[in-house]
Amino acid sequence: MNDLQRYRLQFTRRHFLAKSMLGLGGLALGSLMMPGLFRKKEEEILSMPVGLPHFAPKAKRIIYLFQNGAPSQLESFDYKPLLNKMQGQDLPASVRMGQRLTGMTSNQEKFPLVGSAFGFKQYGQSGAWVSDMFPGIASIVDDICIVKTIHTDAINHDPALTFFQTGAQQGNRPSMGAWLSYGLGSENQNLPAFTVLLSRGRGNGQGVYSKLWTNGFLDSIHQGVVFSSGPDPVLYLNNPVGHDSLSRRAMLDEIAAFNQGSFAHTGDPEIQARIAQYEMSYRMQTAVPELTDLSKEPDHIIKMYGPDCLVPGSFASNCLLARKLSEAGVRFVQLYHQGWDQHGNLVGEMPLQAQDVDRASAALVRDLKQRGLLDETLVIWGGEFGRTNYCQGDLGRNNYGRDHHPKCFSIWMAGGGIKPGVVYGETDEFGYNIVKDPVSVHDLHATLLHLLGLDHEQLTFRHLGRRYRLTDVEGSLVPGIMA
Amino acid sequence: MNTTDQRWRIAENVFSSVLLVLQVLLLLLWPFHEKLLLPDWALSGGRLHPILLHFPIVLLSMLAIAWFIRKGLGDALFSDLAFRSVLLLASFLATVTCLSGYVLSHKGDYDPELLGRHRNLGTFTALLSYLLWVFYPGRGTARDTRPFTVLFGISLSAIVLGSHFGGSLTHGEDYLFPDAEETTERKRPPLTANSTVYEALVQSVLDSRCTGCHNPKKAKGQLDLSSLEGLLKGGKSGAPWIPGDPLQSLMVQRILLDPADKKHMPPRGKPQLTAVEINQIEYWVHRGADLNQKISALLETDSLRILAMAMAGASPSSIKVARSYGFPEAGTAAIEKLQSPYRTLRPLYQQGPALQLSFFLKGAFQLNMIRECKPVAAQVVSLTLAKMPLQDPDVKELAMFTNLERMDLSGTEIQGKTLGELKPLSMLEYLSLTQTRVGLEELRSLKGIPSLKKVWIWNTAVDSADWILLKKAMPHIEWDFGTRMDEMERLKLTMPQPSDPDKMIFNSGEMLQLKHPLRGARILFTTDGSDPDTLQGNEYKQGIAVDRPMNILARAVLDGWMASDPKIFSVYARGIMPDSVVLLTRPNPKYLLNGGPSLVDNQKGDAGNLLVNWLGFRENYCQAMVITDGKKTIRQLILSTAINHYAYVFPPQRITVRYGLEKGKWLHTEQLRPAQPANYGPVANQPYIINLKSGAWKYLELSIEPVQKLPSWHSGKNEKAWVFLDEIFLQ
Repeated sequence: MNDLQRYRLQFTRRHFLAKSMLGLGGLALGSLMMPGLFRKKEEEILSMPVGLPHFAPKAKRIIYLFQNGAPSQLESFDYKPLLNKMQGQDLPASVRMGQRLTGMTSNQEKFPLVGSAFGFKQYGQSGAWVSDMFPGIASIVDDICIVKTIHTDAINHDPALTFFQTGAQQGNRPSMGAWLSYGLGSENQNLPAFTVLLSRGRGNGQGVYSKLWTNGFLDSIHQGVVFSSGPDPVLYLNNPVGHDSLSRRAMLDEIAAFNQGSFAHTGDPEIQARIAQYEMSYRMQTAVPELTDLSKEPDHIIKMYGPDCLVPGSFASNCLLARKLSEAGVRFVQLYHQGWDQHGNLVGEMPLQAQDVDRASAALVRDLKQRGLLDETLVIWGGEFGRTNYCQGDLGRNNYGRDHHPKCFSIWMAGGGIKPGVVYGETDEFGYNIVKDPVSVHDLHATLLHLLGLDHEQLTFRHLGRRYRLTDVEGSLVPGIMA
Repeated sequence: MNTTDQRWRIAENVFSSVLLVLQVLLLLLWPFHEKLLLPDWALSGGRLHPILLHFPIVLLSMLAIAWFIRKGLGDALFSDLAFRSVLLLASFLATVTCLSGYVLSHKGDYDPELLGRHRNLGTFTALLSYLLWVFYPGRGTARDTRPFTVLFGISLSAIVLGSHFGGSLTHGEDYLFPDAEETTERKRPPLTANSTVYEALVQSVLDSRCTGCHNPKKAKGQLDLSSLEGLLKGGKSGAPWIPGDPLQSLMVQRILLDPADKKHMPPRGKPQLTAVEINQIEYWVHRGADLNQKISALLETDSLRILAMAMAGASPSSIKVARSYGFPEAGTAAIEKLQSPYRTLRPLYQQGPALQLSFFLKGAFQLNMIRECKPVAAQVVSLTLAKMPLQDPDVKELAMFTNLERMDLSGTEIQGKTLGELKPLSMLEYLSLTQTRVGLEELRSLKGIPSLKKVWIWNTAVDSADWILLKKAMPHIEWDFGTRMDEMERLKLTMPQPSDPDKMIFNSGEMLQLKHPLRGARILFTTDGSDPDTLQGNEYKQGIAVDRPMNILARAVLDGWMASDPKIFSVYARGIMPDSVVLLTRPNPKYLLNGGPSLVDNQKGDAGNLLVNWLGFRENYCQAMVITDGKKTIRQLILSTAINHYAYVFPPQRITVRYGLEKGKWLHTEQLRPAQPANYGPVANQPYIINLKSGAWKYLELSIEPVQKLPSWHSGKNEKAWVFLDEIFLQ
């Protein structure tokens, strides 16, 4: 393979410019940009070099507490007393304005409005309304920014999750964490840049799938690594019985020699990625055990997160693990807590779900704050869409369910450049439409990337003839939530 | 006259006639030169002009010298004939020179004003030279030679002036007396945010590299790059760029050509563009080549703006994080050399010199790793040493990071006695000392760092009651003590968990192992179904012996916590292992498992998941033959079934056991009719214990009948129910 081919291959993949994993430290540091960058084939021209923030970042890491199944905003952060007053009455067509229904409620003749069965109180200096189900989050209201006007296009879980995580409803794109790993790399070379922690609640759950933390068309080194509970936090990481780390080292060296030979022959940059991944796994063997050993945490930390944090596989223990991973330099830690899909029996199930997450989420924010890490870490809490203000199925005396509602829902964020103690956006009194300051999912993505020092329009990757980015072709910054 | 003379005269006549024709041509060309149309092949004639012009100048100059000293020259040296002939030749050559000049100027690359002057003077010279020849008086003539002299003088002046303009045309106006600066460096206004992007990124490059040849006075390729009008007009080959398409843009193409190429710009020998300058131009063209776009009109995060501001000398600002670092950059090589998996050195962001330094993996840390960073110490702005085994004597190594703003020393082994060594860090604003053993007295030495804004001291040896003292000593610092947990709050413990969640069936001697993740928690348990507490429970020590099926209830207790809820463990003892179990009837095809052996495989099923480890019977009743070795005394047969009312799985309506010592010869029979539910109940695993007469039974036949008609309260009333069983135990 001649030099020209090699040259072309390497720069086609921009592989060596995403250098953090491969130890190529600085790229065009003080000087403006790599001269060669502008002179490649036309396709490659003029995206900013990857691996470094485009401008000084506010946050360095993200912890995303994703509430899978879609928690109801009307029983959490969006207080709508009108619904209680109009309990049982049909949803007016003037409010609904022809919004599409899911297959589950399209047969319904009536759409009886139902108010929250749980009380709401005001907290903090902003007077934010928080439901009684979330006392922990209510106590940190002065540190968080609640956004009540997020909206999405998708109405069912799979497309909505995919849209939230990858920026498009089709499932072939890289996820948020993969884009961050591509754009910024991992601070700690001994851990992956993107990790995923899963937990299930007792409510009605929808599954999550690896499409949501895939690397898409980016290099496979950017995919999310699932840390699970149990003796083996990362599958296949530990040496098998009878195999010690010296033998492992020798084996890796042999494999690397073969791979290098293969690379010299074909020049496929994926081979180098593979070698880098093996090396990282080797270092992870040392780095991971000291992280996942939660038994050494002091008592007051355990009390702060709640005793659940020692039960592997619970949301609380994932929160604690997330703090440790983030502290160790993992760029994007994503938690999924399943079970929020209350189509029925909301009164019975949602408090159980809230119990799982409330204390631990608040503890995470507090813990980061007291360690001085909250300035650099962005914590986000929220689901993939909201729930309807009308009841799905029969409106029982003491129980009800809510269907999916994409037009408005609530999330909250804390840390890294977010304005604390603020409630952003307004929905109408029916809790159905947005009245002021809508924030689309792409807007949220653009803002998140901005806080990490990346221009969302410049972080692109060329694939199948066009340049892709997390925000696809949309997305604008939301200055109102940025400090 | 002799023949030579005659021949000479004839030659002279011929020559002068030709000259006359050329003169007339010149006279015609002079006012009408613009109307001249020439084919391309004739244009090379114009190229002779710079060569030809030397002849008439030299000849006329020599003639002038000869004329002015003619009185002193003898006849042998000065001959009228010679003079006249040379004058004719000079005139001829001057005319031809002029004509070739017209051809050359046909290409029109020159400044019209200058060209006009040169042309007029040259033509004037050529015409004058003809007149000089015509009116040559001769040396020894009686006629007045003064007019001739004057004419000669005028010609010479015309030559000098005309040549000067010609020289200026070729070499530039300032050729004779060059300016102090070679390039046309006009005074440009200083760059600010209100300047245009073009002024910041492109104009300066053009001024320094291009306008030497591309200016109004000398527009090579008819391209004037010194003004906006000139740019818009373009040059001979077209516009210098196509907005948005740098690679098709002429200027960019010329710049990117191989330097050896003739068309490469700037030409060889002139100062070349640097890589940075090339990038500036390319990127500006790519972004639309807008000549009027102001820097301030761009978003602050726009790369174009950042570049332009960098050129303008301003710091690259971003939304409210503006921080300009005045120190120089560290070299790329120095930074790359310091990268390792355990020490990360990265720029804070792309265009800045600021660096952030982080250390990872406690086991790999060595003090040397900090010392090695000396070459880049001045550029490090943020430093993380969290959890590293750093000690008090090591703190002085950190003093070299003089531009440090943020430092994280949490979880290190320092005790704070040497915090005073951090005094040289005059820019330090944020310091985290959480989880160290730093105390109040040690913190006082931070007084020597007046730039500090915030210090985190959660989980240190400092008591939060000392906050007042700290505030008084250093009022400019915000001290963060972290959260104070409510001491009185009592949380409920989580339930104890089995060490092996899958093990529910125990062989003799095996014990159920329980554990609880919280250090110091104790487990209380009962085996009789009662609620364990300190009064009526046992304390768990090593394990719980399981010798029969039992429901074990266990709670966790710990001082300062509320006791956990009780957790129920339904466990079974394997008891006596039969030799074989044979199914005499066929289970439902969906729930076949392995047949008979499944009933003694120690695989317990979960009543919530009937697909795994359960045998199901509906159409048939279950009949199984259990064969033992006949050596052990059997007292009980325990049957483990599932109950799931919603799934139509009910208790069997009758269980019959026939047993004896020989096959077919049944000595005893036992029957059990389990209680049937009156309403929907929870999903559960239900064991049934059938007491047998004691004996070393060899053959036991088990018959289990499912309910044939579901009760009326059930949604499937009158239909057949299911029976599910997973294990049989003999005690």
